[in-house]
Amino acid sequence: MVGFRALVLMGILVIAAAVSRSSAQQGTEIARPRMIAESTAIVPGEINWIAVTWDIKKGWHTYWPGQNSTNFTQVFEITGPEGFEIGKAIWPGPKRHEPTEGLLDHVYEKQATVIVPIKAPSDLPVGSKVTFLANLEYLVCDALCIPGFAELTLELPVARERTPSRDSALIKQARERAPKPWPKGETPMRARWEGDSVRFDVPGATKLAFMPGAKSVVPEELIAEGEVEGERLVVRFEPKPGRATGLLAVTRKDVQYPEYFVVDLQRPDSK
Amino acid sequence: MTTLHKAMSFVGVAAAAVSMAFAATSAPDQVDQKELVGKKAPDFTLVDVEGKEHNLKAYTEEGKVVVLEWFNPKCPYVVKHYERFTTMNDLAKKYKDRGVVWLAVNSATEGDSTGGVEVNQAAREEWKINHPVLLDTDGKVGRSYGATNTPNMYVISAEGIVQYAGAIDSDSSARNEGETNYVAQALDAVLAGETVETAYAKPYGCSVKYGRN
Repeated sequence: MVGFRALVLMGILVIAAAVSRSSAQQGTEIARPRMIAESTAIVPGEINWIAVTWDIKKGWHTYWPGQNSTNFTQVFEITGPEGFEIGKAIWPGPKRHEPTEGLLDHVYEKQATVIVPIKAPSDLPVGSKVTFLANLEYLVCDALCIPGFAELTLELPVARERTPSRDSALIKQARERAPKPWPKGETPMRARWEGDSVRFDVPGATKLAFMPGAKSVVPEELIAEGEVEGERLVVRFEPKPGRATGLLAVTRKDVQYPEYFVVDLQRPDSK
Repeated sequence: MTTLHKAMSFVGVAAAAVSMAFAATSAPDQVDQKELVGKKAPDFTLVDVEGKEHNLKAYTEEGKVVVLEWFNPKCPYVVKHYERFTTMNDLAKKYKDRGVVWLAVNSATEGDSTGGVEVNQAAREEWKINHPVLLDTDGKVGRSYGATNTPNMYVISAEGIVQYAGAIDSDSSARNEGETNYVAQALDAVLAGETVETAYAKPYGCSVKYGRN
């Protein structure tokens, strides 16, 4: 395991590096990132949740790492001490945004919280401290676009029991609203290939939207036909990909936030 | 399956959303730039920030190879190639000596903070740009080329054929220069009478600030 002192030193160096680049960090003032934890301590041998949350100024937005017209490399890297298992980052479901006619982005407004599960080693000494690092590079836009670069640290004590942190509700909410796996077994929800198209049927939905993932082929007419009012959505792909991947946003009557479901649909006639 | 994996499955970590790669979204109301490769480049006449008129056909009829660069002086990905690096100026100068005409085009509306003469002329002066910056304030030329991002590059042969469309290089971050410069590769091939190996690469950068029609 990387020594605690070494980690603290790394943290200081990271902060120093961040401060030294302050002139290039306007994006962090418009979409301000914080590194947070669900609990006030890390519990050995258990899953602990940490996150990066951005508070985004009114009128501005940041980007979901799926298909967007505004196209750039986003960096979201979490590292921690040796022995920790760092899970994959879970991005919240985004909102469709047309910056101008003919272009489509998937964005976050006001706030975005990306959660990360981490499993602590079971032999972690109680009473010690551990530090996690986040390396971020992102873009924040309104009419203009400004990049944000940030290197954040989060230091937590190791304890036998956890108590909720002041940010625990935020992480809990992000986990509850995170994209869910496509339901299996008895479910009225349907997603299937029909020729060159994928058809979604969600009884009870008032609005459906397909958001193609980063590695997905972008459906034809995504702007005009990628979102519909109703229970059925058909998106056509040209060329036909081997699989359709992304998210389906499902809005229901009298529900404030859409539910997001992970779409990963192999085309039956593809190998 | 480990406990961690179970927890991750519970919240749907398998989402494609976690991937960091990006790609351009095709727009229904404009040309798909990928499909423009190998076809006749749409002709246009635009006026630059100094009031001079530029006609594509006139250049190609003179036997010139033409580079089009979609431009926005306030986009960080354009700034990267003019301020952090001098990619555009260096390439424009290098290939000017080989008879290549380099035209930057800004398709922002006159009312946009990145459009119009003043802000673009100021950028030319600040970044010591010697090639012209053309104003396409109604966005018609940009849309006819399917330009989606700034920068978004096109290489047009002396025969008036689009030989390359897409990104300037292979690094879509706001800080680093790509190891492969697709425009330089395309220009070398076109000038040598050879086939362009990479004729399309997904463009990266800010979205073009077209006005709403």
